[in-house]
Amino acid sequence: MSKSVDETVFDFFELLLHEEDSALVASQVKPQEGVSTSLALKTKTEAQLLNDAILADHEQSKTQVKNTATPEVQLAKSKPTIMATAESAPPLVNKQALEKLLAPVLKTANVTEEKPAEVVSTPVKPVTPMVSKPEETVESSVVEPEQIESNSITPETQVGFAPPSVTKDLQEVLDDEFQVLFFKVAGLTLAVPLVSLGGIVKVERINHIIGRPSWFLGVQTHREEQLNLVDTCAWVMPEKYTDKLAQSVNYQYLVLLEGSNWGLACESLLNAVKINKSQVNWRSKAGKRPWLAGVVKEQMCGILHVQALVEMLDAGLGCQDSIG
Amino acid sequence: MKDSRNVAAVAASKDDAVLQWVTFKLDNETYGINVMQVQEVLRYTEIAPVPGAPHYVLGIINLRGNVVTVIDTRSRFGLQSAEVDDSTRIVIIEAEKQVIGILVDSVAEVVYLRRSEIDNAPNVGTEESAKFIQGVSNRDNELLILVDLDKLLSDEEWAELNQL
Repeated sequence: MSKSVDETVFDFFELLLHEEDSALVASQVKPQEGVSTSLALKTKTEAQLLNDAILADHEQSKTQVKNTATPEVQLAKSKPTIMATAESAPPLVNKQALEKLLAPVLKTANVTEEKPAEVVSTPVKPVTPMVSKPEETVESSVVEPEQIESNSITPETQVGFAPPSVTKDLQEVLDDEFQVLFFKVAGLTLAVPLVSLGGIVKVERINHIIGRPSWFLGVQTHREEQLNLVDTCAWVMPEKYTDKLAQSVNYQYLVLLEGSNWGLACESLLNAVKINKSQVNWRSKAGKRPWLAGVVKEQMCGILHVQALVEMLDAGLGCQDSIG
Repeated sequence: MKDSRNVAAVAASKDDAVLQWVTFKLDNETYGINVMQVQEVLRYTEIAPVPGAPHYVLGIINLRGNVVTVIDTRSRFGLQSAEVDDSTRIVIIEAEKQVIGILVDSVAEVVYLRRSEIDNAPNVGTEESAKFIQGVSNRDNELLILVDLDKLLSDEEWAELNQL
């Protein structure tokens, strides 16, 4: 049994959240340079594998979309009302890519354990599939390291990166129980707290403005105001945004970010649900990705820190740019 | 009392001056240029290429005995080139004390805009072409992108053009 793409994405987001911590450990333990290098190599391999998995999932979902109705959205004037749609059956995945992917994730978890760190103790539900899988994936994690180390992949680390300063704790603003909207882009699910949602607008006429970054989709007029459209896929995962993926992405809606005129283009809106703060693995430290507030455990997706994201977009920064 | 109101109204209208813009189309987007800088609009005429000219120069035309350099606007805006058709126009403009022509897909109309109706363009551009967008305005649910013709070329490029 291999993990679903959603689970893989969950692992990916988890890794993004803890990436700064593991990098810190690596820099502190200088004599064990080999360990940190191999970790970086694994991260790179993982990114490639995730890319494969996302592409496979996206292809799959595209064929499924042809047979299913598109989600309906009712746009109220002030508060967007979203009609929840039943999620389709778990998509088929590139198994080989995922198995390879899982190995470095487990290995990374072992390395980060060395740090006394704040490991968020997640209340494990007895039926979650993640609990029943470790034994199987451990086998592959034993085989994997040799292969990875033999590859001469240059590590994709950001040397000299200054940690950003905008990670004001989102948790302070949110109630214990709060609503989030889930939306999807190129097979990747993202969540935005409804308190940070400015509205939802259908993608209509996009005016392209010259000389803007590749992730800047253009401008759309809405109620006599200009909305700045973000090519979400290009912004969130620029390294995976190939021409092939770009051609296959079909943006339908704009998720507007509260207090700004920025809108994230997305392919579909999944649903809006109430979740508890404890259901989110919150980012504990300011890091490279202030826009990522945490990971929603049950839905296995990243939750956006809208304020930080808006600040980055206002500054014209891409997801990997330093804002420090 | 009435006089003071009139003075206030005049002052307000001076702050919010009405500007006229000639609009043209390029790759399905509408752009506007200050009407004061537009001398005339010509139908497409044969443009003679100039050997050794910069890449942004399409060539020269003879305008009533004067030689006018024509700029490749699409290339300048980072857009792909397109076939010349019946609606293609050469807009003769004056910028940086030089008279040049810019090739556009079509010329639409002259619009009146109050200064207050002009918004800043999203300030996220890093490329050279981001500099010559001076603002945007929403008219009848269509976005008009206002071009600062003086910044269409850099100082060096204007100088280069002068010596062509």
